[in-house]
Formats: sequence, structure tokens, C-alpha cells
Amino acid sequence: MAPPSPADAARMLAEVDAARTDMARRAVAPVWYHPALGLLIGGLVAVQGQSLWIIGPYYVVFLLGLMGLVHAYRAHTGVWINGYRKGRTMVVAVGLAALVTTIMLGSVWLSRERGLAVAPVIGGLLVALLTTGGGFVWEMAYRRDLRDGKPL
Amino acid sequence: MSGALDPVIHAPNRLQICCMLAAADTIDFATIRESLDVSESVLSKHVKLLEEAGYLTIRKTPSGGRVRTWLTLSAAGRKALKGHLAALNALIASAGPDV
Repeated sequence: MAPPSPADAARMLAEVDAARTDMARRAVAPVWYHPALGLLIGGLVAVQGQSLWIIGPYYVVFLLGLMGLVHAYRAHTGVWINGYRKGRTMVVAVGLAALVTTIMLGSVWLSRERGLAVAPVIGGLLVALLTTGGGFVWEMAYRRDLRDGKPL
Repeated sequence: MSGALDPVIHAPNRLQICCMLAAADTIDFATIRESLDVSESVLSKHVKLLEEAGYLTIRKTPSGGRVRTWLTLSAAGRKALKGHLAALNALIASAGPDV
């Protein structure tokens, strides 16, 4: 294989940029995706103050809901991307996971140790909003990662 | 980072396929075909070459009564792509700012 000329190399890299731009355009979730994910995860926090008869079935709903969301995202975009991929996206995903975990544990503690039965509901609402907003922030981070060409 | 030009990735369509796959975990065959604006047979040939080189894996899943084909870049493919892009960048850098 003969090495390309510098001009050809530049043209190839321009095509690479075009492929990345196209990916950034395609990897956009349906508008209801992030709110639905927020509701599912927020619900997981909100039920923590309830009896096992409610928590148990909710876990089933949660898992089925997650599977449904993954299926819908893949069908809609034709793409699947790991939320914890390297780059800015990982910072957003890890930060969001840490926030959600902290709120969930805090809600459970307030509910069980301090008798604040409403804490999981408020926590769940907060988590639903954070997850929804975080999803859109994650998509922006993904587009910026692709625009910068890093990381592979 | 320095790297070597890879003859398998060198073809423009295969370079684009690898770059798209590097940005995701997995992509549907039809989505890549639409993006590259090539026929199924042309894309199949490129995919077969990349698969034979060990640069991507293929998985078929049923979906709504039909089968969807999902492509994933392998670790070897990612490494080869990094090297290829580094080599292209080095070529441009060696030519100076006029390119």
C-alpha cells in the first residue's frame, strides 16, 4: 500500500470528522427517553420508604422498564452507547450516579432513622429531575467529545 | 502517538465505519449503510473484510419479526484505528502548515 500524500491524508481526516458529526447527529434519544429514565430511577428512590410488598414488585417494573428503554433507544437511533464511555461523558455519568446514590441513601436514612416518611418521595422527585437533566447534559458532552475527536 | 497506516482500514468507507463504531458500543448495519450511502452488498464486503481482520464483531438479534445486524469494533480494531489516525496526522504534520 502506497502511503497517501499529505493532501489525501487531510481529506481522509475530513471524512473521519464527517463520520463523527453524523454519529453525533444520530445519537439523540427520543424526547421522552430521559424523562422516562428519570421517572424509573426516581421511583426506585421514592419506594424506599414503603413495605417490601411495594418495593419488590417495583424492582420488577424497574428492570422491565430499563430493558424497554434500551430496546426503544436502539430501535430509534440504530446505535447503543455505554453511558460510562471515556471522556466528558464518563464525568457526567459518574457524577450523576454518585448524586443519585447519595440522595437515595440520604432519603433512606432520613426515613428510617429520623422518621421523615416523606424523605424518599422528595428524594425520588429530586432524582427524577436530576436524571432527566443529566441525560440531556450527557448527550451534550457526547457531542462535544465527538466534535473534539477524543477519546477513541 | 505514532502509528502505522493499516491497509485494511485505509479504504475511505472502512475508515468511516471504524470511526463510527469507535464512537459507540454497537451500531446497526442499516444505520451505517444509510450514513455511508452505500448499497447493502458494498457494505457487506467492507464488513466482511473488517471481520476477517478481527477488527469488528457481528451479532444478529430478532427485532419486530426481522433480524437486525449489530456491528461492534473489537479491541484490535480500535488499536489499529488509533494507529492509522496517528499515522495520517503524522503525514500531515510532516508536510507543514500548507496542507
